[in-house]
Amino acid sequence: MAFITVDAVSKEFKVEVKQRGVMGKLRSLVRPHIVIRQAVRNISFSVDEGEIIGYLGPNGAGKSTMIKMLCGILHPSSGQIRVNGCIPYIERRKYSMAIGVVFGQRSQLWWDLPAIDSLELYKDIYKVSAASYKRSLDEFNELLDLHEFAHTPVRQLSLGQRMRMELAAAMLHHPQILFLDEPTIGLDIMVKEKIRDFILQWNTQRKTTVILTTHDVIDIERLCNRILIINNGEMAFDGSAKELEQLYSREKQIIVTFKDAIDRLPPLLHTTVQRREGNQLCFAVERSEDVQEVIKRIVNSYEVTDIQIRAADLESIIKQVYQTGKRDVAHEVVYSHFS
Amino acid sequence: MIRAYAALYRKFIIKYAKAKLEYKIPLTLDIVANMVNSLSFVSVVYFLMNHFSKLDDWQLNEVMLMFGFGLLSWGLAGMLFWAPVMQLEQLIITGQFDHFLLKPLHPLLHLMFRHFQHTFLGQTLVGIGLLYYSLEHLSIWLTPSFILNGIYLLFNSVLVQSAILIALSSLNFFVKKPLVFSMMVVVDLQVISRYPVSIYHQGLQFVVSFVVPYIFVSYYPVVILTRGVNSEPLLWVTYVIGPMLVAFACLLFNYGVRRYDGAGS
Amino acid sequence: MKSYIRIFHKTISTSFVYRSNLYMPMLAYFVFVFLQYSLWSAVFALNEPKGTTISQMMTYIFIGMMIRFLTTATASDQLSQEIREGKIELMLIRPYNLFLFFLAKQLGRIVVDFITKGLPLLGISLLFLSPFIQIPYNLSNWLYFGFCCINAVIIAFCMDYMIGLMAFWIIETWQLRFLIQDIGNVFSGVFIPLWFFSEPFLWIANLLPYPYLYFYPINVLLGNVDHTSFLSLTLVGLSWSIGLLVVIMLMWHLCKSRIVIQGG
Repeated sequence: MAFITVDAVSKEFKVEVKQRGVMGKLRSLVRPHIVIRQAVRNISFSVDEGEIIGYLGPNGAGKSTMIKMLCGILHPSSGQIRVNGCIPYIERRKYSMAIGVVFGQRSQLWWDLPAIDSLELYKDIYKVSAASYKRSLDEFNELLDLHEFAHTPVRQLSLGQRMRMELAAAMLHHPQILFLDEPTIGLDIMVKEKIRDFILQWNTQRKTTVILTTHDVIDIERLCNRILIINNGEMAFDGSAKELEQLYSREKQIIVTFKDAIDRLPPLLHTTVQRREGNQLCFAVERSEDVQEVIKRIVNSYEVTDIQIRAADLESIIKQVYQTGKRDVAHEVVYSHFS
Repeated sequence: MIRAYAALYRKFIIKYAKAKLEYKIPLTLDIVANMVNSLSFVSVVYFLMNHFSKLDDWQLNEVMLMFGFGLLSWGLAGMLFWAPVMQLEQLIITGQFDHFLLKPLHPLLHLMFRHFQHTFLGQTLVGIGLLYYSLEHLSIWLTPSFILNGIYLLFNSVLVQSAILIALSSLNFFVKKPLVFSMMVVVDLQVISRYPVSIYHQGLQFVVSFVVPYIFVSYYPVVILTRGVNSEPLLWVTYVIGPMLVAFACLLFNYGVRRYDGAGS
Repeated sequence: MKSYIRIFHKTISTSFVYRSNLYMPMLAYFVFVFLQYSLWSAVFALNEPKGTTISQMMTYIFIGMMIRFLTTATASDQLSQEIREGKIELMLIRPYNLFLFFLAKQLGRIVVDFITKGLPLLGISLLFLSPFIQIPYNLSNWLYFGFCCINAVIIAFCMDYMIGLMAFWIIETWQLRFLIQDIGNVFSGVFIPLWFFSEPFLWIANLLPYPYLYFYPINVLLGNVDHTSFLSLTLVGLSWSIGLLVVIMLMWHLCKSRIVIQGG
């Protein structure tokens, strides 16, 4: 029996659609136009204790909705969620003792008080023993350098300091599950590393299950042993990073540095431009067998100073999965053009 | 369990006080601003009564007593429960309220513990001043039973005020942006209710008795203290209405939380 | 000039976008006026005071609620916030006058308030209260009234603007604003007409600009002010307007030098 089971879960919201124009605006003042939006469509997965899961997807894909359901804030429109036998949104108070949460933009700290005061208040709220509190503080100081800013009011903390504090507040009561919503966004590299190390350490030592959403690929590479990709409310991929790479390993990436800047590339079958930086163009070729043909065409038409060929990187793979729906359509168009 | 909560609140208040006392001038200004605000309403009564000498059956000092009850109970209740009313709307909009659902502490208590509205000390001080002034000028014997009666009625008024505040904050779970409405109730309606309610026509009396029961905060307590509990039918309800309303308001709040669907993508 | 008119228009149109922004303040205002009527009708029903009739009182409230918007200024909020956040430099770079910018916004706001609150209230009051409301038909009174209103707008806006500018020197301006507004509510006659003031307070009121915001315009329209009194009223009212404008210019001069020194 897995630690967390998500069983055919769906969630829909009633949303007001704003009308255009003067008449529309007046009409919506009196009778608003309500539409049902499917945020999560029939998603199922399970998580074992101690796993670190990356829950990814483009903005608006339904990630936050699923996280909220896993936390117990929302209840599914259909389907069921079970965590270690209990249902989050039903036994919320009891469940909250077992989870820790860091929601990037939204703080759980007391704004006007010195940072350490928040920890002391949470110590009482979570009924943490004095001994355990001291031990945790020592660990926090060691891994996150909390002592440097613990006595500053939270409103005066930098983003990096505040995120570390949020993490400490979330872990203070040694929860079994840690939910992180974009924990490293906007942080500098040093702080990101510290936070990743902290999460890894806690996971290895205490078997804390971690579920995080992020747009940072390095977070995924360093932390996650499993990736779930959501697109349009549906599950697009569930597996390890290795499996993801293998699935798309037929793809190759070509990075070409041109002598002069190029504004238009000739139509090349089965390729998509991924990045452009000055004179450098990076594009993905779907089938490795096409690589030679593509390079030949480019070299024949342009002057080139450098070419690199490598297997697709994680970022572009994920980007592809995000775009899967769109790419199928593009496929069709390209084929018909050349047949 | 209550002891644990009380200890937690005490701890929070001490920390909050320490943080606020670092900036003494804004703190004093806060309180002064609220005192002036309260006095502005009192001045209206003063001018009014000077000119009209009697309202229905009531003379200046008795109306002052009503205002005293109103202001003092408002000040005390506001210190504890104004923050939930004011902040909940923003907390829900920014999504920060989700955190409140994920802690083992009841959201209402958490809201209380989050912010202590010290500015209401202004109202409290003016309220105390009014009570003192009016009691001095009224020819009432300050017997121990009168004082005990008064203190209990005051405590009851604080409960009613708190209940109204809790109910207003729970509006956040049913309507979007109820703050403007709440302000209207809490400022305009409340001030009106501090005058002798008997002077108003039936409709308004109904609103102040059954919709937002401010009548139990200032008017009825003073009726009891000056004319006795038997001067009107059912006046004794005042003694039990406080705890009842608080219980009802808490239930309403709980219902609202359960109904709350943290909307957002 | 065109850009100011555009700001004026934009303020009006944005107010109508959100339902919650519209209905609630409207309702809140209705309730406020209704409660005023209730209180005063109750008071007058019990005893007729020497000198004032219930009709005068009701008319006072009626006229008052129509001109309330002229003097509810909100510029200081945004102004002090922008000063505190250091955005003021951006405002200085723009090719328009900060003062006129906020004035245009304020005028737009006044129009919005009049449409959303004043007009509906006008309709309801005329329906239910026409027997009580008596405004003498006197053209010169109306002209004087118009002038008083313009004066009131200027004075109220200036006072609010000054409080906004104070953000350059004090950290939080909201206490000051509340103080000014609360004292204003009493001395401008919003809560209670100045006829009911006792001597010492009347004397204080006359030293302040507040009565010019509310009480005097209403009194003029009610016909309680004769021509000679009106002349002296005008002079003092005007001097308040001009005086405040001068003070603002001085303050702004100080502010500008402060920006240069502090660098934001």
